[in-house]
Amino acid sequence: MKALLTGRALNLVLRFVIGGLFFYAAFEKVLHPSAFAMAVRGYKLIPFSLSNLFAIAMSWSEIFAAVMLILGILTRKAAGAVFLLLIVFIIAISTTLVRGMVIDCGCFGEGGSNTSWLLIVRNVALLVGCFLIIRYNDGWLSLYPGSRAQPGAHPRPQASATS
Amino acid sequence: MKSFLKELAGGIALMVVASLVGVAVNAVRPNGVALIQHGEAVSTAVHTQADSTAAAADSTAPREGVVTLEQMKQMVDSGTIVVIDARSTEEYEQGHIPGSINIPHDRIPEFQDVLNNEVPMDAQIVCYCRSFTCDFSDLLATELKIIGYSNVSVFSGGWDQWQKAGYPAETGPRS
Repeated sequence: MKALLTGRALNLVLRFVIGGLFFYAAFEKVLHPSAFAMAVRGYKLIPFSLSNLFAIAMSWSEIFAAVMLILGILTRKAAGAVFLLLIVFIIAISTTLVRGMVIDCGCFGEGGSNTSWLLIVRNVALLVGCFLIIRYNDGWLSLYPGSRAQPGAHPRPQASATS
Repeated sequence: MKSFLKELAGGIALMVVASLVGVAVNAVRPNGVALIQHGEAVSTAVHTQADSTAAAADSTAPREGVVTLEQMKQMVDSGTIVVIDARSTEEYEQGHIPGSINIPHDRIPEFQDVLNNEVPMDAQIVCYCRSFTCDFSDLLATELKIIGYSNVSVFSGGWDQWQKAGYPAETGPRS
């Protein structure tokens, strides 16, 4: 089980799945900044006047991190950015639910699903995926991976008894 | 752990660079947005049952930007206002205030033609959604004000209060 979690194959799959999901989500937001800013205002968490700026910062951070994850450019730092974005999403969605608000989550631009505990579960799962990328990515199939997981974090297969 | 925190710090640096690129692109693109959004959010919804009950009991007292049930009935009867239902199209078709237009709060750009053709900029607009605890009419009213509509208010009791009062209703898509 540990070999699976720390293995290269899962790390690559996680890069493509999380990167692909974030690219898909961010593309609409980058294309239509006013619609995403509208979703940001719905949360009533940050000052109204800063909603547009916040929307731009979030959407461009998402698309940068997504492309870098997929291509393997500074992979672990890109996963770090996605990790932090997910923390922001989880806090934002949780606060709306605690306050009894049901609003458009803005996850994929405008007109997406409403805030729910299921979204929190999904984001926590993605968070675990990011953690695995940061912890175990060794630069395999990457354009410019930057830092790599430290030796020992990525266990090599055991040598067979016959060799 | 140290290595993990180092990568998170790298992630923050990446986000700063990405944000700066985003701001630069926003400055030159045709559909860019103002970096500082002027105006303020419309906020009439309550989020607890107790507040909702109190709001219903108090619904005859005038409040800035809030339309009461009695005022709403009079204005709908007189036909002097544009009523906009901020709920989803499915909910709208199940039942809505007669003559109201449906613009779901999270799909405003899709309904831009409806706004352009049927809602003059100087119209007296009243938005409503499900009930006192629903945020959709606040969100729609906020966005309409940002677009430039100056006379926008919210019927905070919404469809629930209208229906419970036994006032007329329409179903199905807008004719």
